[in-house]
Amino acid sequence: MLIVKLIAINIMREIFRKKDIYVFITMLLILMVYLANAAFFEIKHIYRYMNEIGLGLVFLFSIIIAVPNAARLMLEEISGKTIYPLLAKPIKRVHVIAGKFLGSLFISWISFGLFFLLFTVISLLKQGQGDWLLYTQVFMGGIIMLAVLNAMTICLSVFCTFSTTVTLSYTIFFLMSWFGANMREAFYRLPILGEIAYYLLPHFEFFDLRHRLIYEWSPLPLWVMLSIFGYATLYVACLLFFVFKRFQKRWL
Amino acid sequence: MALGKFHSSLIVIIVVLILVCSSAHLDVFFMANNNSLICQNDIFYKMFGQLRSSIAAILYLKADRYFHGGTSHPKHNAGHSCLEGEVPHEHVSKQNNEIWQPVNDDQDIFSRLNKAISYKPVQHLNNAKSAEIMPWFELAVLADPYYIKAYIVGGYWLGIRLGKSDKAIRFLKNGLRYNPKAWEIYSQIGDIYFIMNNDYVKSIAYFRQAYLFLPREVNNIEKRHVLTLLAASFERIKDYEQSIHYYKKILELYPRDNKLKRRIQGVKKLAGDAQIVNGEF
Repeated sequence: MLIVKLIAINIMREIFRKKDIYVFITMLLILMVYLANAAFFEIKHIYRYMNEIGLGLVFLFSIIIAVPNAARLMLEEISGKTIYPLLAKPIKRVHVIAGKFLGSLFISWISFGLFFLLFTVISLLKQGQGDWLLYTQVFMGGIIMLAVLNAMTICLSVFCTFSTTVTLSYTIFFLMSWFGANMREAFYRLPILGEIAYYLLPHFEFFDLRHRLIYEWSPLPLWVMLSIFGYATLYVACLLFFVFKRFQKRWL
Repeated sequence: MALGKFHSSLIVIIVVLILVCSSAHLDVFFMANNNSLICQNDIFYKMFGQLRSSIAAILYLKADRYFHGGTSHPKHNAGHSCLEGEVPHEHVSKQNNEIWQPVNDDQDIFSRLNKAISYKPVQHLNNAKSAEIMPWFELAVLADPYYIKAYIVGGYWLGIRLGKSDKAIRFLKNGLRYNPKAWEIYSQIGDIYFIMNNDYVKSIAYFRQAYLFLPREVNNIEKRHVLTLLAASFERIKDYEQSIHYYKKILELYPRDNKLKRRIQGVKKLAGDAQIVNGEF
């Protein structure tokens, strides 16, 4: 576990060395302040538009940071030949994978956490009040989404080049987020294969709870949150197991 | 709901671009001087021109989604959208309301989860919350100043539903800058002057312009709306001759409308009474 932790910490330091997160925080701050002060028809006490745009930016920026970062980890290590001294330590391949995954996950979570905190502060200042449970659920949804996204990207990176990994990750993510809910009928038209594909694809639409906060719907019941969490945990575990098996057989 | 999420993400990107460009006075969308021949024949103008309309339409649809509290619009046979009129959803039976369905036991866990997360019975925002839809109208016209629908529906909501008639008129007059022959905008301004401000002189001026620019192919319902309020405005300022003149124009469209015939008789009687009062025989 110590080895895994050390690999993860080493990767996490990257986020503070690179400028991406600072640029996104600055952009988010400027846009959120602009939106908070925008007076559409001088109408006061309207804020849903700000929540929508703000949350959209929070998720977008988090995804922009998460995917290329996760895609790069294994590939850079292998192409730069730094994997050899790492494995010669000796560090098991499973530890490398676990460490890389945790490192990229923490980078995603830290950046998402910072963006979400900034959004929450400005949003609550504008609104004056808010449902903490809703904010928490949206935050948890984002955290879980990033876990699945990171796992999927790392899994793809074991098979594909960097650009292919990034493209596929974004494509799968956006397709499933936007159309995943309505895909059931389409997939079920292909018997057996279609059903398998429907269940195998990652259903990112489960984790996107922004609309509940934007439109002030009621918080989700506990069984839904637990189901989402359980689904994500199972999916991430399967993906990482698949990565480990593939990486184990891979000739470096 | 999937379409809503697609809209949300796209809208975020579009809105940020619009805000940045408008703040920096960047005319990447050819908003200024778009009547020049160069612009008309420029391929980028043609591309972006259509893109602007599409963006404005998406932003307008966003207002509709906001009005429905984030729920999807049910399919029913109303001839116009809820945002433009007073059509309630209570008349839409649950059978026709395809979006809201009780969870069936035989559906898989993913469908049940999806329904729990993303679906809610269709609703309308109450008056207090309906102001939340307004930013999307402003953003729609910012994206495409020629998107007339955003002006008229936004003007209706701002002027009549939210009671901010001055701001609504300013908003609509801004629309007239880019669309000087848009009869719908004249008509909407006239509505606000008539209904909210009781300023019949100004309502007459705008309804007259609306009638002047009314195309032939417009349906009779729309024509009737303009003519009715124009006639009613003349009636309010006691110009009964003009009032009867426009009521008769409506009669040409609806010759069997007995209620209208009685109305005309009523106005004629008022005109007669007025002549007596003024000492005219």
